[in-house]
Amino acid sequence: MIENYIIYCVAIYSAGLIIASLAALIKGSRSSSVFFIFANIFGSVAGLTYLFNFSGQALTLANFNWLFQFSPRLNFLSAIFFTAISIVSALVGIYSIRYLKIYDNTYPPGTVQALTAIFVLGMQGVLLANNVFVFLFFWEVMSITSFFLVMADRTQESLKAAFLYFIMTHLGASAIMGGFLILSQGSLLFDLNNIGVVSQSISPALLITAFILFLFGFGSKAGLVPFHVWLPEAHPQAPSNISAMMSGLMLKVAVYGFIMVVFNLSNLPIWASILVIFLGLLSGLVGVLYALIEKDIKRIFAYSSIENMGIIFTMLGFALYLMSRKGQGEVSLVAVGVVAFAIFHAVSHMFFKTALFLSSGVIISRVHTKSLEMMGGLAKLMPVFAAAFLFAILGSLPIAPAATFYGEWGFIQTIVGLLSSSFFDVNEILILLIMLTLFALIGGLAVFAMVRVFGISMLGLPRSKHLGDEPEKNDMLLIAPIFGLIALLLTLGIVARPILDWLMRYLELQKDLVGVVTINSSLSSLQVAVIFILIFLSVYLFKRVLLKKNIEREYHTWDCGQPINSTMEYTGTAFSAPIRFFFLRFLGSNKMVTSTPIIPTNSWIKKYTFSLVITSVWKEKLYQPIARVIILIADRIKIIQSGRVQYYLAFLLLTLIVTLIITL
Amino acid sequence: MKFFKLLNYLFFSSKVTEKKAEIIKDLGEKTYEELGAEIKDNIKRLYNGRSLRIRAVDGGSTNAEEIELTALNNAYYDIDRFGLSFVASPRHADMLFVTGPVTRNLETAVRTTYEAAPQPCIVVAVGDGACTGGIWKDSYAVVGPVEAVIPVHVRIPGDPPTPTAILQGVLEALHNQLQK
Repeated sequence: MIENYIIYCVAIYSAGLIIASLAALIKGSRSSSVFFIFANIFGSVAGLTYLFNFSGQALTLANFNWLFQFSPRLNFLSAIFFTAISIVSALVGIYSIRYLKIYDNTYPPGTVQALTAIFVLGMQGVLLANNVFVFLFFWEVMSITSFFLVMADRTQESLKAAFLYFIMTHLGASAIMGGFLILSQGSLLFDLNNIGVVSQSISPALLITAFILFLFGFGSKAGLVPFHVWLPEAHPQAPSNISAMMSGLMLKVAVYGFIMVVFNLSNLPIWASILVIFLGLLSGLVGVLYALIEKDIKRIFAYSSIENMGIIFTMLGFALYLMSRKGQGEVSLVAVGVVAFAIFHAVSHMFFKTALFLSSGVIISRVHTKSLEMMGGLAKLMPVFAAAFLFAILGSLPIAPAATFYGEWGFIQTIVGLLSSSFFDVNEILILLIMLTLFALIGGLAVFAMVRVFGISMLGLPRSKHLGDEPEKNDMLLIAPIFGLIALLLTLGIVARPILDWLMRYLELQKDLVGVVTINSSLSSLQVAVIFILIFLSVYLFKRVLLKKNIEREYHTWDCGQPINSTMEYTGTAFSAPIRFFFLRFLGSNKMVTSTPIIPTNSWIKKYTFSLVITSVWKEKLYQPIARVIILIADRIKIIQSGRVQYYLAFLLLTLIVTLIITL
Repeated sequence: MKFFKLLNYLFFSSKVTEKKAEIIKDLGEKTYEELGAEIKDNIKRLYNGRSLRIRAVDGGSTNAEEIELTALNNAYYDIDRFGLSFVASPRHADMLFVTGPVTRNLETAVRTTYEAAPQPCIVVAVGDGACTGGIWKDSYAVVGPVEAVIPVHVRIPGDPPTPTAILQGVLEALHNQLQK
């Protein structure tokens, strides 16, 4: 009975998205937005109904056997992401109404809205897919629509960034296809439920190859270092609502893919999970360090996404490690807990990263520049938005009562609990300690990065003369979704404990988990939230009631007689200098001061030029050498393209003979 | 004839300076040390923190008053024993010493310093120029005495006032505060 409601809602959802895209192309983006928002509301209703009633069972929604055996199905893992993506997309749809109106000279609104609808359809299609063909089809839909969305403003930089993104995403998609082909031994209509069964019967070498391919494919989409180079280029160039959806939602689809596939591969070697942990910690460190030193606000948030994905992959790698070690004491149930923390962190990252990117869109629409060094003074101009942005920034830090805290805290508590238990020997304790320290370092540096972003962009005096002074209430449609996302994040934080328990109960990673160990974390999220509320209330009441007799007189800062202007404030580069100097060898920053004498006779009068360039170490040391080698090889092979038909016919004959020899 | 006109003007016209007794209530002929000890007591009673911080603002003086204020800090007059000290920022000040008649160029400085000092702040006009405008009273370059710019609580006449007179003025200011 209730299944029918879910099926109808999902059907209306997909139909609504298609109608929204057609309406955007034909009529315009205003009517399309309405369809888009309502479609997403139906989708979230469907997802929530499933989660309340059918957690733990797989629900097949329809059976289109004639269309590549496509039967959309919801299981617990996909329903979580499905619901969250629908809710976040609805809020981004509300944001897009006003955003596309402000920018209708830069981004063609009908095209962008149509592509957004298809983008969401692609993401949800990946989550609903039941076999490999459908999975890869919707994966491609997702990638191609986002490729066109990245270059929506058709400038040179966005074209370059979109091209890089196109290459990386197709390399990843082909890796995923290769992995699935290895698992299914050639069949593309292979049902995704059978991964666990099939992986037990293929040879270890093939299994490892498939694992590496999946790691590359899903990792490059999720932004795992060293496959991340497209992320900081593509996300800043896209329109802000699209960056929010790409960073907030698309990366999680990759996480979903990774969990669904890799956790069902049985008998993975231990070094595979250690590799995932290593890549996760590396991504976390690289992401947070570059987030600290970058100048472009959207690049900062893109690197912060890389950092959070690194955290999630560290947790997933650790869960894989726990599942694949067969020592004394089964700690497999702890693995389920760690994956639950990873999924919880992924969902909370969806909320706060989307809020941050939407806020960056508002800021850029006011200051007309993406550079952090030209922002400032917006808190006086837009106080409501400044409050929303402040809550979004605080939500992105692992600080209670936001939901971000509970994912990371749960993981740290798990590690500490395992350290004090007797299940591990000395080498493994080393791994645990390294994970713990690097995790804490990443969390601390993330606080620094986010505080820097808020302080330089919002506080102080405006550093740019082109500050638009439109009244803030025109942009309420831009600010309301940010508040909505923060409310969701706080609600998730208040009910974190029950949701984590529910996740751990229904998450089935492998069918043969035998659990004798549970790590109890005694933190009740409701109590923490209540304590926070009580503290804030008591401080507020104290100030209101008891300090009433002190009259305050407001006066500006004492400036010692010299008028204060924005050149006296911290710049972003100066604020991040201590951390930048500490990690100078690790980062690719290039500082140059050149002095040229102006007059030949007097060498003391000089012209000084200062430049600080932050390059991507990965691009220079890893990608460009590989590109150079490939181009070298291609140059050598170019010789066979001589232009004469006889040579080509001879090659065809040779290929045919070789193929016949191999197959016969 | 001009000579008699000049004599007339010198002896019989309205005076620019006021007599000291009209401004400072006669607290008796106390020595510097007695004044200092009384100030210390009053400060203890008035400001529980046992110190009175003074910020000196120059509104366009001849620096004679400034030299006397500097003299207050030397080893002979040492006001630090009595709990008085000079501070750099008006945000830390309990008392403002304004010297000199306020010139047009420094009017903003005096005003901003007064507004930056947190209330309650006692404003003391030090020297004849600050009290009444002195010989620069109707000059084109001068706004007037300090009370034309900011409210003044105590005046210390003299050009420049002796350190003892300055301490007498501070003591009178403290007496006024105690009476409030």
